[in-house]
Amino acid sequence: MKCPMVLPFEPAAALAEEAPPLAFESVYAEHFRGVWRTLRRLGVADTQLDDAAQDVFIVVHRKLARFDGRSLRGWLYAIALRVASDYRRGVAQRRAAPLPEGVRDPAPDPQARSELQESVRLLHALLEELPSDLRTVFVLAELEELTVPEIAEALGANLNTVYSQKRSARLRFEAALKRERARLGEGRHESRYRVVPRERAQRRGSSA
Amino acid sequence: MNRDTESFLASVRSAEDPARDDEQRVLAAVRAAVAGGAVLGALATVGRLLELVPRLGGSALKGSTLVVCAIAAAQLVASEAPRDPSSSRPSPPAVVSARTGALRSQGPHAEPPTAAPLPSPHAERATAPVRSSSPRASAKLAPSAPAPAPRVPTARQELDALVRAQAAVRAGDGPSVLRVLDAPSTDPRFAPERRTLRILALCAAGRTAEARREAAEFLQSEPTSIQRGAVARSCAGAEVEGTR
Repeated sequence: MKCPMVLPFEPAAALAEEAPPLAFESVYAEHFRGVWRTLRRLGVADTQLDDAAQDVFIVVHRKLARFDGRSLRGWLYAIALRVASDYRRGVAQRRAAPLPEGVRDPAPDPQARSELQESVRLLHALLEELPSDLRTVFVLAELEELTVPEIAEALGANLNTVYSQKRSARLRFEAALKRERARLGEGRHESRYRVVPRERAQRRGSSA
Repeated sequence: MNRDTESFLASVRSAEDPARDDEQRVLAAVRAAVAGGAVLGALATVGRLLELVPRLGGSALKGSTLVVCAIAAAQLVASEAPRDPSSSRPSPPAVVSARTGALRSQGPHAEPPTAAPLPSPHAERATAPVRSSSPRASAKLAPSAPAPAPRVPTARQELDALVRAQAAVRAGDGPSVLRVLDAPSTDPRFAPERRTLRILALCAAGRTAEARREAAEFLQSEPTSIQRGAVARSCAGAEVEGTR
């Protein structure tokens, strides 16, 4: 009997190659933005977002055929969290220099844009204050609005733990925001959280 | 949550959305990474297999045929000269970065970056979905490059070379790969992979007619090869019966 040298070690993996492309395309279309935002909010540098997002969806593509259908977002964000963690730990290789990036245009007029950028800076600074596990739960719960069961799935944690972390994270975030507001006063934009962008180049948006 | 916090969050929730071209660019890169993946996936799984063979408990593989062949394959590779430390880990699937088009290590995020790339022209000539090509990209790979291949490459080294060749093909550098594959093959074990990569490289080099001829021959002689899918999806696919 002829024994081919190279085998599909995991038959399911070979099947995943042939999974109907439509299913993957739908998952991608629906979740790319959330994954991208989440990677960024969990500390992946702008210069690495492309690679990190690519990594997430390569794994999604490979494993989609084996997804058991229970909770897509939970399953998907489990992958995203692992990738984010690896990029934060510097496991994935780093880029030498940032690409020439333009400024992404999230708001129509300069004033609004500048305020929004400031808000995003503030958001990230506040997120940085949270312990890593609370930060993760907060990002998923309050920014991506995953349900607690979905978050538990993503983390491989039990429900009660996640409920408790969600509450904790909220309280801390709220307190930090309140402190910051008080410090700022109304209408001023100076912040002790003026995070110097370093290579946090902001992205140029084409017609979004 | 109080209203102030709520309205703050509402204002920033979508503020970090990717741009449309981010979404397209990453999708194209993902597609490129999985296209023709039968070859790469198969190669990568053999690599993983080598790591797992000592721990095979029979449940890891399904079907006695697979078990027999897998063990034979692993023994064949393992029976060669002892691996040097730099090749003691399986090469992770090589992936072309969406941003720079350069070869990079993808993960799955528990493995170290892959070994050194093919001769440098490959990195410069990347044409896969890109922004700008980074000339320094090839220097960014793992610091520990493998020792130069001995005259008779081990199966491990041949495997590594084929993995890199696959990445080079995906980066559009057909000619380099063809040069590598034109060198006489040292052993017949990886013949199906070499033939498939040759077909893909011919496609990448725009030599479609030759690719089709070779594809037809290949599929005739290896009708059940798992590389069939990769060949069918390539430029030679139109000639493949019933697979497009």
